[in-house]
Amino acid sequence: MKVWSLSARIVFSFIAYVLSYILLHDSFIYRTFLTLFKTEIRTFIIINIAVLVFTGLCYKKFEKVISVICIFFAAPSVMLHSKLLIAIILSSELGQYFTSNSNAVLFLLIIVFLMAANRLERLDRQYDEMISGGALEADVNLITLNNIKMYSIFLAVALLSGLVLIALGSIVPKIGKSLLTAIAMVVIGIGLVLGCVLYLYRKWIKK
Amino acid sequence: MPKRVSMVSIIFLLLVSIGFLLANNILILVSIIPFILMGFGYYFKMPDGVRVKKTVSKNRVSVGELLEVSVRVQVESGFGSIEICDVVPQHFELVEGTNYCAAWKGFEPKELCLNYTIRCTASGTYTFKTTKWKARHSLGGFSTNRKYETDLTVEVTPRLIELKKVRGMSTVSKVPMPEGALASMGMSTQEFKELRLYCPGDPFKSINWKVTSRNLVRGNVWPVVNEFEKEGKKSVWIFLDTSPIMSFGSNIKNVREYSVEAVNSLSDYYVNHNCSVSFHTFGGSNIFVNSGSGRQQHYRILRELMKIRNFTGVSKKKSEQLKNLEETVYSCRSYFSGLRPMFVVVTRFCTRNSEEILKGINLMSKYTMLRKGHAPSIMLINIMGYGLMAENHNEMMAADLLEAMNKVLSANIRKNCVWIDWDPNKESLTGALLKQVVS
Repeated sequence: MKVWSLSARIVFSFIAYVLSYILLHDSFIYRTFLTLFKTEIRTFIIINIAVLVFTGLCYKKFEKVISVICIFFAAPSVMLHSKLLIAIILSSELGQYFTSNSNAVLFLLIIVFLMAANRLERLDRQYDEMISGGALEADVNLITLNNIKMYSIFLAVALLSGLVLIALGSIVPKIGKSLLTAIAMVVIGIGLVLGCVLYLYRKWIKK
Repeated sequence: MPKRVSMVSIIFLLLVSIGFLLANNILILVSIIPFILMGFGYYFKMPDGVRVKKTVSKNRVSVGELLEVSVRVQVESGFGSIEICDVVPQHFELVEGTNYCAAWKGFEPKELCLNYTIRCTASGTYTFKTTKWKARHSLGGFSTNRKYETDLTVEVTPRLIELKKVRGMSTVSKVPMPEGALASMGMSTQEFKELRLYCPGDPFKSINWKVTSRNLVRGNVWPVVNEFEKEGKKSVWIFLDTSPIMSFGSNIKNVREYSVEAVNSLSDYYVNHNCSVSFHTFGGSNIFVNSGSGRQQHYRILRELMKIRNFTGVSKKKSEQLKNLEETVYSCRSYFSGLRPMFVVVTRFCTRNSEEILKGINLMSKYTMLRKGHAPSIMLINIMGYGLMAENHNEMMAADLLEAMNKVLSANIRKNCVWIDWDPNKESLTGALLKQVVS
C-alpha cells in the first residue's frame, strides 16, 4: 500500500511539474531566462537543477514544494490571459504560444495532479497514525482505498466540469453577439454560482 | 468544520474575484474546484449518530485480576472513516484485544465491537466513563472528535496475600502474631495457644512437665510452660507511610500499591485472629480508623486503603501540618493506655526518613513492653523499592547496592523492632515474614 502510494505521489508530482514547465516555456519569463543563460539547453539545465535543489532540501514534503514551484511556473502563462493586465500594465508584445483553452486545460490538469499527490500524502500520514494506534491493517487499507475512490470521483467531477466549462467558453462566443445577452449571461452565471456557495455555506454552518 | 468551510469558500471567492477583476477566464474556471469540494463536502456528511453501549464483566475485582470490557458502537448516519477509542484508566494494563479500532462507514448503518481484557494493577475506584471517536470527512481534510460518557465504575480492591502463622523450631513465633500485644486486663482462658519457655512470674502449674523432660534429654534445662489465650482482644496498630517517598516505581509496579497490599493482608490476618486492629497513616494523608475487630473492621480499613491510591503525596495542607511517624504515634497515645499494643509500620526506608523512623520506633517502645524471650512488639515492614525500577543487570546491581547501604543505615533501628525487608520483585510477603523467623 505504502510503496505504490509513494510511487503514485512521485508520478503525479512529476506530471504536474512537466505540465507546468511547458506553461513556463510558453511565458515571457522563459525568454528572459534564455537571454540570461544564452542557450536553451543551459536554461533547461539550470532551472531544473534549481528545482532539484529546492525539492532535495525539503524532500520529506516534496509534494508541497512541487506544488509551489508548479504554481510559480504556471502563473506567468495563466496571467498572460488576463485581459485587464495585458491592456493596462503589460504590452501586447509579450506574445502567446498557447490559446486560452489549451492553457486552461493544462492548468486544470496541473491542479488536479497536485491535489491528487497531496491527498495521497495525507492519506499516507493517516495510514501511519491508524496503524500506530493499533488498528488492523486490513481495516486501514479498506479506509484508504475508499478514501482514494471518493477523492478520485471528486477529481473526475471537477475535471469534467472544468472541461465542459472550457468547451462552453469556446462555443458561446460563436453563437451570437449582443451586449444585452452577454450581460445577462454574466449576471446569471455569477448569481447562480454565488447563490450555490452561500446556500452550501449557510447549510454547513447550521450543522 | 466551519473553519474549513470558510477557508474553501474564501479560496473560491478569491479566485472568482481575481478572475473577474483581471478578466481572466482560467482563474474563474479553476474556482470551480473549491466550489465542487464544498458541494461534495455538504452532501457527504461525516459519520454521526453514534450510540455506545459498554459493559464490564465485574464491578468489583482485586488487584491483578482480569477484567473483560465490551463496547458496542453503532454508527447510524454519515459516510467516511471513523476511529473509536475506549479510554482505559491509568493503572490498567491491556492484556488481550484492543481498545482502539478504525473502520469505514458506508451508506448503511454500521455496528462495531471492541472486546478487550485488562489487568488491574492498583487498587481504587475507577471510572470507565469515556469512549472517544474521531470521524473523518471522506473528502475534506477535517475531522471531529467527540466522546460518550457513562457512569460505569469498577472497584479494585487490594490483593489479599494469605499470611500464615509460622511456628519455628523453638516454638516461639516471632511474627506476625503480636506476642507482646497482650490484653493486660484479661484472664487466661482454657484455649491453648502454644508452648513457650518459662519466665519468672509464671505460675508453676502452667509448666508442661512432659515437654520439659523431653527438653532435658536434649540438654535444655529451662522449663517449658503452656501458654493459653487471654481474655480480651490483642491490640494491633498499623501505621502506613503515605509520604512522597512511597511514590516510587512505575504505574504498574510501585511501592505505594505494595504497601496497601501489605496493610490489607495484615489487617485481614489480625482480624481473623480475633485482634483489635487500628489503622493510621502518616507523612501525607491523615487517615485514622479507630480500633475494632471483626470483618466490619477489615472492610473499614479496606475502604480507607482504596482512597490512598488517589493521594499523590502532595498534600493541600502546608507541609508543617503533615505529621511524621513520631507525631502520629504521640497523637494516639491516649488509645494505648491499659494496653500493650503491637505496632506495625509499613514504610520504605531510605536516608530521607531514617531519623523520623528511628524516633517513631523509640516512642513506640515506650508504649509496648519488651519481655525477655519475646520478640519486640514492633514490626517494621520495609518495602525495598529500588528493584522495582531496575530494568537490566547493572541497574539491579545498583539497586542491591542502595539497599545494602540502607541496611547499614538501619542497623540501630533493627535492634529495637522486628525488621522485615520485603522485595516484592523477588518474594511474597509471606516469604519475607518466613525468612525473618527462620533467620
